[in-house]
Amino acid sequence: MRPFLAGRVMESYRKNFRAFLAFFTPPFVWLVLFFFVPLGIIWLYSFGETEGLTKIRLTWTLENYKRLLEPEIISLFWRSVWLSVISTAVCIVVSYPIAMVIATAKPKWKPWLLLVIILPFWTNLLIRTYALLNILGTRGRLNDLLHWLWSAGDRALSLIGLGDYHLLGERFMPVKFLGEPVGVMIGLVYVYLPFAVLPIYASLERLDRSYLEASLDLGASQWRTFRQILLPLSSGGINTATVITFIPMLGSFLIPDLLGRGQVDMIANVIERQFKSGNDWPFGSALSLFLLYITFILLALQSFHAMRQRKREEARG
Amino acid sequence: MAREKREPAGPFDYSRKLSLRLVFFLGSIFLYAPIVVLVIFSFNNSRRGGNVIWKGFTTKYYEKAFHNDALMEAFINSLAIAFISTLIAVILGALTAVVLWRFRFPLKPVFEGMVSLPIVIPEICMGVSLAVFFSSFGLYVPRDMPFPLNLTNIIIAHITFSFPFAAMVIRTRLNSFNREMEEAAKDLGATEFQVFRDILLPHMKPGLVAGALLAFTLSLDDFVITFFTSGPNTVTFPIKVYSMVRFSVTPEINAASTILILITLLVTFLAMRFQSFEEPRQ
Amino acid sequence: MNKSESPIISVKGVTKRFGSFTALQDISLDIRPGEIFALLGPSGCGKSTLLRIIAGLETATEGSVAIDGQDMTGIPANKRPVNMVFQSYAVFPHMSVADNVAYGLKLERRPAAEIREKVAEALAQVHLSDFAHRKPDQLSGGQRQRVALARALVKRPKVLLLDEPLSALDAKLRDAMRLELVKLQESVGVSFVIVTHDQSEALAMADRIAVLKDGVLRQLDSPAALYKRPVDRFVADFIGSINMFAVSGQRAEGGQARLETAELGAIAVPSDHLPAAGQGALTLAVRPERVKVGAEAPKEAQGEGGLVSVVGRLGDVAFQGNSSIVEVLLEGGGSLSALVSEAEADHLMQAESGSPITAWWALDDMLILPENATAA
Repeated sequence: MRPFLAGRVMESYRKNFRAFLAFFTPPFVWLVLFFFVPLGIIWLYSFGETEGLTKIRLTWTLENYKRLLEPEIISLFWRSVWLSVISTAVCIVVSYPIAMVIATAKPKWKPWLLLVIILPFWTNLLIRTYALLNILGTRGRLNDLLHWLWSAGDRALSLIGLGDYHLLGERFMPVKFLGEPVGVMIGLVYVYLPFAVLPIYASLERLDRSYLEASLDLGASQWRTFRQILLPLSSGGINTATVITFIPMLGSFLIPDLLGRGQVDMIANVIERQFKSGNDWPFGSALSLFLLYITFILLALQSFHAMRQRKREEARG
Repeated sequence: MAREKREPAGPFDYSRKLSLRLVFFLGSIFLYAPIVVLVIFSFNNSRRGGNVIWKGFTTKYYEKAFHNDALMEAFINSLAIAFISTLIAVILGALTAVVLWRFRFPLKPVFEGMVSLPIVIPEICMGVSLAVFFSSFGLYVPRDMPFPLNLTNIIIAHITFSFPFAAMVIRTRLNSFNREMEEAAKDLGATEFQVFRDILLPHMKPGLVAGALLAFTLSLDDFVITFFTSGPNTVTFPIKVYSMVRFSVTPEINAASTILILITLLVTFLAMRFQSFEEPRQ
Repeated sequence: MNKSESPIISVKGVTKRFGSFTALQDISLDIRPGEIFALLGPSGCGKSTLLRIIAGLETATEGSVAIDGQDMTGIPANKRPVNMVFQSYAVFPHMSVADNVAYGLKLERRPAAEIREKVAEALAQVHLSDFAHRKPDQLSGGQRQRVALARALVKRPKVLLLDEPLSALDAKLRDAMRLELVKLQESVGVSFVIVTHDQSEALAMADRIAVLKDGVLRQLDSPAALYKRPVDRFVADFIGSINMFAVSGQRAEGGQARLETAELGAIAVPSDHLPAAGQGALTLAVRPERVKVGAEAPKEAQGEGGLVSVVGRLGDVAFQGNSSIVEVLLEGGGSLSALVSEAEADHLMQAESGSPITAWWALDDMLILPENATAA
């Protein structure tokens, strides 16, 4: 029993002001100088106009933001959002059972199963996307696999005397993944799946098993227990997983760039073009800020939700 | 132990349900297959579009990668950036962690939010803003700057996005510090500085190492932010691979990628070792 | 104890507030050289806070602490001539046992040879000489505590402060360690101030005990005095076990007072038995070992004060080794317990549960306690 623990753990900054300053100043100055000032500059640029090749004049014009409403850009946003929404949904659906397996595994297995899921996440994003590029080509490994399945199926059909009908088509037609939305979605799921597993795993790990046992004891079926007990109690983890996969997906650059082949642009690809080739920095800044605002709104919603959840849990005891 | 195996699965032993195990298994295949294929085909003896058909084992593309000066320069650049940015990121991260752990001060939640912002905002926004920042302040690094000063912009960018991660890891470690240790040292006659040097710093050490390894892999991994802050003369490994990929897909890239994967695995392995060391013993 | 000897620690009017919460209220007490002094109370009573104020880890809101006649106000923990054994022992995990013990001496910049000698001596004192080069995580809880003891004692403090020293040990080790701490104190001779919430620990070890509740010093006395003459209901209840009966009404009758209780009915006591100070309703209390049981109370009074007797029914008999506790269910509701010898217990076991039985005790053995002796 330690009364006043909270008061003792942290000391007031006034008590030892010089020590406080020594610790506080370097990271604070660094953050302001190399993070907030740059963000401030693109904020200013988003109200500017291009003059000549590299000059930008701050005119406080709203033109750059008006351009966000052009049909082209709206369809770009729309594409980015639905690609990310579907990919996030797939991530959650796939990672939930994976998280369940890890959370209920024997203690000595847990770290290893977790490692299996986390390890790819430590591998270079570019290399992973590039690896996927090899798989997804029309002559890539995935199409090899599909071809093999097709042949096997066709042979099986021949065996039972249906060979002449060519139910699976005359010839194997490779599926086009690259340059198609489906290829980009596979890439997004591939890269961000580990992001989704961790928070769900954490929420399942924290869960008191006796809730589930009580539900079963009261006569609920396994499925009902899952739907009405497990799922609601792990909703915090699902929410976190949704937000932390959706945000980077929405802003992803490399995956649509390499797997979309310029056919499936997302917001970041258009931003990149404004800075690298299009040379329209003010519009690029406006687009970046727009992406930033969406991120903030999502984060705010998430923390609001988490706060409500916590309150409810506290009320529960 | 042998008896344990025959125990029937309980109602919530999801890990022993075949269907769920299958999802885990297929999920892992999905995560690993592309990388495994990439590694295998780095040994493929095929020149033209080397990735399509298996033509026998060779290590010549590793030799080729090692003799590709541009690639090696990019590789050395990446390592130099990773080392220098890690060093500074760990110092800044440690300072941040101690501030947040030790002090109560006005607007503390705001500072906490500020520190975590680089972790959550889209990389492209950070890359773009830093690119604009460096160019609008005329902070172009002169072309003839000696190595590694020519990498200053990229190093600054990498420190900025990696030190908040390091701070997070170090702060977690600090949370397990028993404040009575600090009081005991003071009680035995130690001054504030002696407490920090003799007691707190040794306690932080695993956190510092873990934070450093994290910052190192983050730096080695980064593509987007480097893409915006690098100049034509400061090419890093991912940037080089990117330009090669856009040009054509060659087994050489597979070989180079395999090397980088190995390095990452090594660093991750070290990080895990320190993580397990960090766990409370008692 | 030599009364004229000046106190080694003198606490004067110490008050500690955390915001609006008062953790300590105007505490004054002296600790004598060479004694074991216990600060006893339930958790949250402020005893640890008082210890930390003496150590200099916390500053008092009001009042002062003097160590060996020197005012300690404004002197930080690292400059005070007292050392502490922490509840978690706070043995530095990255240093060997010997380095832990040497740490305080190294900070004093003593010569290496002297440090080595003193560390060896201190480790021998706590029987850890063979463990000098072990790391703390290779030690048991009891051994870690000895390291903490050696580390504090090697500095030759004027007073050793111990914060719940036995609470982290298991029950068996705790009893052995009690004895060992007392022996250690006798051999080193410095005063020990021990914070504990365990009354049996305080009774077994301390020369004097200060009982605290809600930041207020309720009673400071020797263990025997605390047990025999608790000043109020709280102290009586906290130390040992006791039967208590709330007084619901009180009437003066000549030189006597008639006290009404639900369980015992009205009892007449001499007025001078009533507590002189204190506030709140009175409570009648009697220790179980003072209560006798039998078929009926003896006719003539033993001693001058007379007897109190009460008729009830026999309840449970709990075996306690060489004695037993008999529960007597009272007519007026409630129950009381009596400590009886084994022979008596055997006799009582033959009676049926619920059969009538009388309990009695000497009027002089009955305490009349106020709710709170110290409150104004």
